[in-house]
Amino acid sequence: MSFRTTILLMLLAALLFNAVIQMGMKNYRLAMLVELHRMEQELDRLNRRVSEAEGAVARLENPQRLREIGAAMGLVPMPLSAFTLMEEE
Amino acid sequence: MRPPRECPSERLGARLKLCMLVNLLFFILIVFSLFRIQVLDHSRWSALADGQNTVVLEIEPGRGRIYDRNGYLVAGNESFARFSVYWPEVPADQASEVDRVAGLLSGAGFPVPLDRKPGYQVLADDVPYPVALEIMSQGSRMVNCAVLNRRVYPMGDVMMPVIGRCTPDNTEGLELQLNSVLQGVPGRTTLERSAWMGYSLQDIESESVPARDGLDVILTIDARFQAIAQEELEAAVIQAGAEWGAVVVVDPGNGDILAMASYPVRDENGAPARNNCVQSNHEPGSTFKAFTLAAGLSEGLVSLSDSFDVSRGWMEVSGVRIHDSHHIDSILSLTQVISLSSNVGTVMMARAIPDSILYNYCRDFGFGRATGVELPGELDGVLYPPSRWSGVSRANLAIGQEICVTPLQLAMAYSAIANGGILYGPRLVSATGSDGEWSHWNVFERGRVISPETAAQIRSILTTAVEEGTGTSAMIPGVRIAGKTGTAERLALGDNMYLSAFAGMVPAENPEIVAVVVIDQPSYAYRWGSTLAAPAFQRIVSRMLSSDPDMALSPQGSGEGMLASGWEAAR
Repeated sequence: MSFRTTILLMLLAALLFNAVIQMGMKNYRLAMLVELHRMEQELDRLNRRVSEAEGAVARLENPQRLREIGAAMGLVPMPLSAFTLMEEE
Repeated sequence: MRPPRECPSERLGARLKLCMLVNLLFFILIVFSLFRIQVLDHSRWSALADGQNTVVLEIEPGRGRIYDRNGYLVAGNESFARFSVYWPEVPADQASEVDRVAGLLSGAGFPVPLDRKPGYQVLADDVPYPVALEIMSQGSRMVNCAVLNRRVYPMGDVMMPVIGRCTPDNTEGLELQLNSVLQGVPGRTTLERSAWMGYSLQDIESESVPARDGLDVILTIDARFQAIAQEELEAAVIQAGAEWGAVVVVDPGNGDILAMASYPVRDENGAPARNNCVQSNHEPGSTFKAFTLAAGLSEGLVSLSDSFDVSRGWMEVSGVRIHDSHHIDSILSLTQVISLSSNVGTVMMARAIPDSILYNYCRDFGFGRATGVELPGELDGVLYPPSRWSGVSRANLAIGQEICVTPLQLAMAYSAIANGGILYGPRLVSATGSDGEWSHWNVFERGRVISPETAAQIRSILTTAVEEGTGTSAMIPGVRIAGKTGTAERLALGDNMYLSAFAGMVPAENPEIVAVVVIDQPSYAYRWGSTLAAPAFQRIVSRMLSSDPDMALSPQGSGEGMLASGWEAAR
């Protein structure tokens, strides 16, 4: 094989290798973008569920609701007449 | 003679030249067009090309949440879904896919309209997010599902007088006042359209600005107190057939607003009604006598040893007769004048106080100007300068007429008496921030109005007013209360129009709570401060004391001892 042919073949191989690397990088980038997209959707879903749960907890802890439930169970606050005040030192 | 015939090769040469000329012109045209497209109009064509395969998407920021002082969520965000279909884009053989999703929606309790509209059609709206997720996982690409945000208020209307509302159509109350803090900053990202699996992928090489969520807000309001105040106010207003009512509960130590109830909560159209605590003016009536007393005592113009002969039951000032509401056939001490709420005695006391001094004390206590609370539409109240006073103005002002105040102004002024003489600006927002990093808002101290000694004297007189005077209906067993009833004539509204008010503080020796109850235009039987506002105060404060663990008092005889006259011991 002549020197000229060797150089040409090496050049061709380099070009081919570069093309494969470029394609691989593009595919990797695409795969990462798809994963990023999926994770962002998941994060958004979880954030919305957190807000949802926070609202649900607040509804359950609504002071009015607790008082009504407590009253229904006979758990009313003690009358103040049951308390005395300690003198301030 | 025939002309000589043209040689064929010469004819061909001429045609060739013409053809080459045309080609040359065409080539020049192409080169020029390419130059125009790639150089001159480069940006336009480039933008057009980008626009065809990329989408710039605005990212909506999350609205900040609002918590009460104990971390209870009073305004949050919730997602809901809207399922829709655009029929022109649905191929005939895919219509069954839409029907399948419609069936899933119906099965989840969201009936889908049976008739098909020619264009865009909403299949179901307001679908809870978890349900929507379930349906989306089995859904069809023919059906669009838009996930939207909306504001939720877990306590319903109870907090509405304070925080207002934020809807797509309207924003009111604190939501409006703090909108710039709560709303956040939208972000922007560029998506690259993909033919594969229908993804729109983020273009990471383009400039992307993340959305910045709004800041969370911590209020000074205690949700438990707010619920109690709102419930009791509503009951009192309905019981008395009154027009409106307001309750303000303040921590006198720093001006923090602990509860701010207003009734009615909604107007006839269902929209948030005005917040009467800051948007309603009223004559304070006898609750104002405490400030006349403050001016007289501070300036040394009256003293506790003074006595006033009110046995006639009326006195004339500049041709106007001022009466006592209840005839007191006696000579009263200064303490009795206030505790029995004698108009005549108070006017006699006010005769010793020059106009300018009385006016300056009214201004110093914060009347006649907005308090600066973080709520929109706050009124200034009405306090005319002495230059606009008539001969009877001083007497009227001394008994709480010829002046208009808001319930919040009254509460802040009483707080100054409660804390030893310092007037604070009201504070509704304790801190803003997110992710545990909070920026605390400052307490706003306006300055000293009266000395601690004078404040203590006034508190002592106000304690007598509750224990022996007109305010006995505000008494709470086991706790000493200082306060003053007020029954103002609403002269501007007509005859037999009254306003029932009570301003009080508890515990009387070292107040930690100041509460003002104002109920406007009750039925005649309920017109007195002692028959309507004072009992409402008693119910509200006693419920607060017995429901808050920090304020709870140990059971009698338990040997554990008791809550001190302040609550610091229990904290």
